[in-house]
Order: sequence, then structure tokens, then C-alpha cells
Amino acid sequence: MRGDRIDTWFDELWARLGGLPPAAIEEIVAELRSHVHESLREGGEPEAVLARLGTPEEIAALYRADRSLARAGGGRSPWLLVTGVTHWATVSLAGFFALLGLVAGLWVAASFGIAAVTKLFAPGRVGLWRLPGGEYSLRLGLLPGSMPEGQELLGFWIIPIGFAAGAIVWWVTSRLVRSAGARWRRSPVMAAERRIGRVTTSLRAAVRTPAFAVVEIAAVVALFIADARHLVPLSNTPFLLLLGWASLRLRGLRWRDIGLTRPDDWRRVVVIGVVAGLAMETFAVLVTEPCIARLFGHAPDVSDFKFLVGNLKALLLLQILNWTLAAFGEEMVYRGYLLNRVADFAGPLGSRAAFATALVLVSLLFGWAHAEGQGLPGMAQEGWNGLLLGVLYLANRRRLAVPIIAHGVSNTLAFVLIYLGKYPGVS
Amino acid sequence: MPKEGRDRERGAGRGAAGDAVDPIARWEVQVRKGSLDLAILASLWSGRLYGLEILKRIESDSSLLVPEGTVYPLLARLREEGWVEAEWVEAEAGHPRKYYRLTAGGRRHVVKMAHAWSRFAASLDRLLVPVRKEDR
Repeated sequence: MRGDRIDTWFDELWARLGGLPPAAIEEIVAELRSHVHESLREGGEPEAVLARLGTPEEIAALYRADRSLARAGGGRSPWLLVTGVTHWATVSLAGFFALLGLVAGLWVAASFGIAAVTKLFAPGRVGLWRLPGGEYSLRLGLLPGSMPEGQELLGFWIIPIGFAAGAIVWWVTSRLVRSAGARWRRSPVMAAERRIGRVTTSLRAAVRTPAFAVVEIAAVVALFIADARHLVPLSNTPFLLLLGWASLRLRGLRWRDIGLTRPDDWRRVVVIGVVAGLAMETFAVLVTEPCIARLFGHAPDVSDFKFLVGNLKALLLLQILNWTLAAFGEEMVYRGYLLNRVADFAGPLGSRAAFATALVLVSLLFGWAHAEGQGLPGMAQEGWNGLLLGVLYLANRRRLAVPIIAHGVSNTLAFVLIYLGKYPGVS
Repeated sequence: MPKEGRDRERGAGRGAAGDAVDPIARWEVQVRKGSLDLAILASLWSGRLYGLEILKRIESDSSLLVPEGTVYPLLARLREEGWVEAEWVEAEAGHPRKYYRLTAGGRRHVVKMAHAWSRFAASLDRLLVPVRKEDR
């Protein structure tokens, strides 16, 4: 069945080259088919011929990295640059660090831009304050939290300053990354399949060592501590997403392997997600929060959300953050990446016990991440929500669609209740 | 539980085999990789060749072992940079072959690369004189 083996190899190559222009894929496949035919004609065995060529994954990665970097180097589009560097990151350590730098630069640039836009809608939530003690505080308060006392210095000048600073940071970041990519493309290193195979395989061997697990856990812990100390702008979720992506890719996995897939039955998933989300929030408001209030002596502190009351613009702005950062971002991080990773580490306990342990630990982490601004009762409430979302995830065959929708819907209900002034603790 | 088995072990096998070889062989592999561009362009100096011929020319005229899968993406890049051009030719074998030849710019480029390579080798030779004396 040598024809089958070769056809399978080329089918996989074709799939792996997806994203390149169809004409380019046809040319690449035709050339490699010609090579295989020629080698077989000279008496080679199919397995040996294919082994000497390499795996479709490795060959496709070389073509994609080169092409992506070429397009990214030429074009101005940030999206092209991100996808180009992402491909580069999958074949080279240098690319991985370039991607980290690119994302960090993009995040800082976006923060400046968001600050400028926020000034238009919620002027009191962004600015440079001179505090009573003489210190300065540059704050962007999109999430609930009190704003600094003192005199705000920039006023509406923060709009042009924010846009200019964002543009400068983006320009510097993209120039640095493009030139690094161009240098790497020109270097002979890129041409060496064994070297790339060596980097990839040595990385993939390294991820199975305890040392890697320690580094990964340390990185996660460091991000949470940094967030607690306000060292991370806005939220640590994007950074955790990046760490999760790196961890998955190094282990040969993708987001779809931990549940980020299109549902087969959209209607069912949406209905379950919406019902679950509404039920979660209703249960929280009517049952768990009063219980927590009795346990801790006071309810979760939601006074920081007061700015939402009667403020439609803020409600709409918050919905954007809710569905991107909270629903998608947090579900991908907590239920997708962290829950599965903790279950990996707890693997020796057996599958059920490992996932149960992971569910509890990640829910505690989820609660702790939300503790600021809502206090210990808030941590308990969010931890409980995290547990419910984790159960939804596991009950839906570890697919993320339902928890994402439920998370978004439950937050939406809470924000709407606050907006209407009907949420307990906010009037 | 996400399957660790999704990792492709074939690459690990090749990598592991490479790592088991002595350090000189490993270093030689790195040096060879650094000269692959030049090797491919030089192999085309006398006339057009298709992929498999390029591999054989390099292996027979030098001691360079070229990983087969890398040559094609490399040729694609050299073509994009304008050093080579390609054309499909119907072969007697019944399937078409993609032939590569140096462009005018490519011929000038490989001459410059060859000079640079000679300068590099000469510099290194000067550095190695005391080492070789010691070795006798």
C-alpha cells in the first residue's frame, strides 16, 4: 500500500499548508510529488523516501514561516505581523521571544489607545493624578475600582497624548520585530531542518521534565502576584492566555484540543449557555450572596460598580470587556488551559480525582483573581462561580462554548441589574 | 486528558540520534548548515538542475549532507530573493520536473559569496596555524 502511505503524507502536507495561497500550495505539493516520484523511480522505498524528506508538519512550518515573515516584513498590517511572527514562533525560540515582545508592545500600545478613547466616554476613569502626598498616579480604571484622589493633570490632553504614545510604542515594537525577523530569515539557521527539528524536539523533550513544570507554575504564580500588586495593566488574562498558548504549543497541542471548537449544534449550546448563565446569576443574587453575607458578616462589595448605575455608555463599554476578556479570555485561561494543566500534574491520582482536584484548585484561583475590589466574600462568590463554570466545562465533554456563553450571560445579567439599580448592595 | 502522544516522536528520534554522535560531528553539522545557501547556488553554476539533482550534486562534489526537506523551502526563498529562477519541464519519466537556474543577479551574488567564503576560510586558517603546529 505504498501509494496510500504517500497519499496520506501529501494529504497531511496539504492540510498543514493551509493559509498559504492555493496556487502556492499546488506548486509546493507538485514539486515534492515530483521529488518522491523521482526517488521511487531510482529504487527508493516509500518509507525511507518520506523519512528523508521529513514530516509534513516540519516542511509546512518552514514554508509557512518563511512566507509569513516575508509578507509581514513587507506589509503594514499589525494582523499580518502577528500571524507571521506566530508562525515564526512555532519553529524557533527566537520567534517565540519575538512574539512575547510583540504582544507586550501591542498590549502597551493598545492600553494607550484605550485610555484615549475612554476619556471621551468616561472622563473620570482615566488620567494622571497628583496625589495629596505629592506622588503621581497614572490610572485607567475600566474595571471597578476607586479612582485616585487629588488633582487630575492632563484633562482632555490625554486623548492626543494617548493616541501618539500608542502609535509610537506600536511603531517601535513592530520595527524591532520586523528587523529581527528579517535577520533570522536571512540567516542560514533557518534553512537547516535538523536544527529546527532539534530546537522543536529539544523543547518538546524539555516540556516533559519536572523543571519545565516548575518554570510554568512559577510563571503562572508570578503573573497572579504581579496582578495583585498592580504591576500588570488592566488584567493578567492576556498574559495568561499567552503563557497558555506557549504551554499548549510546546506540548504539541492547540486550543481546539482543550475545547475551543465550533459547536456541532449551535442552538443547543446557546440555549444551555444562556439558561446556565441566567440560572447562575439568579442563584448567586438570591441564594449564595445572602449565605456568604451571613458567613462573612457582609455581602461581596460591589460598590465599585456604582459608576454603572444609569450609565448606558459604561454598560456598553463594559459589555465589550465582558465578552472578550471575561467570557472568552477567562474561560480559555481558567477552564481551558489551567484546569487541564493542573489535571495533568495531578494525573497520578487517576483521571476523575485529577480533574476534581483541578476543578477545586482552579476555582480557588479564579476566586482569588477576582478578590480585589470585592473582598473576601467576593472571592468566595467568584470561586463558587468558577466551580460552576468548571462543572459546565467538564459536563460538556470539555468544550468551552457553553462556559463561555454562561460566563458572558451571567456577567451581563449582573451588569444590567446594577445599571437598573436593582442589584443588592448597589442602589 | 489532552494526549501527550500527539507530539511527533519522529523528530525526537532524529534529534536524539544526532545528539548521540560525538561533539565534532555535531559541530560539523552546524558548519555545513551555515553554508547551505552557498552550496545550492554553487551547484547551479554549470547549468540548470532540478531538486533531486541539486541534492546529489552537493553530496557528490562536497561532503555536505543536505536534509532533503529543507532544500525546497530554501529554493523557494532563493527564488523569492531573485537569485534563481524556476521552470517546469515535462520529463521522459512522465511526470514534470521543476528546474532551477541562476539568474544574472544570482551569478553575481554567488561570486561575492564565494569570495566572502574564501576570506572567511583564510582568516580561520590563520587562526588555526598554532593549533595545527601543536597537533603535529
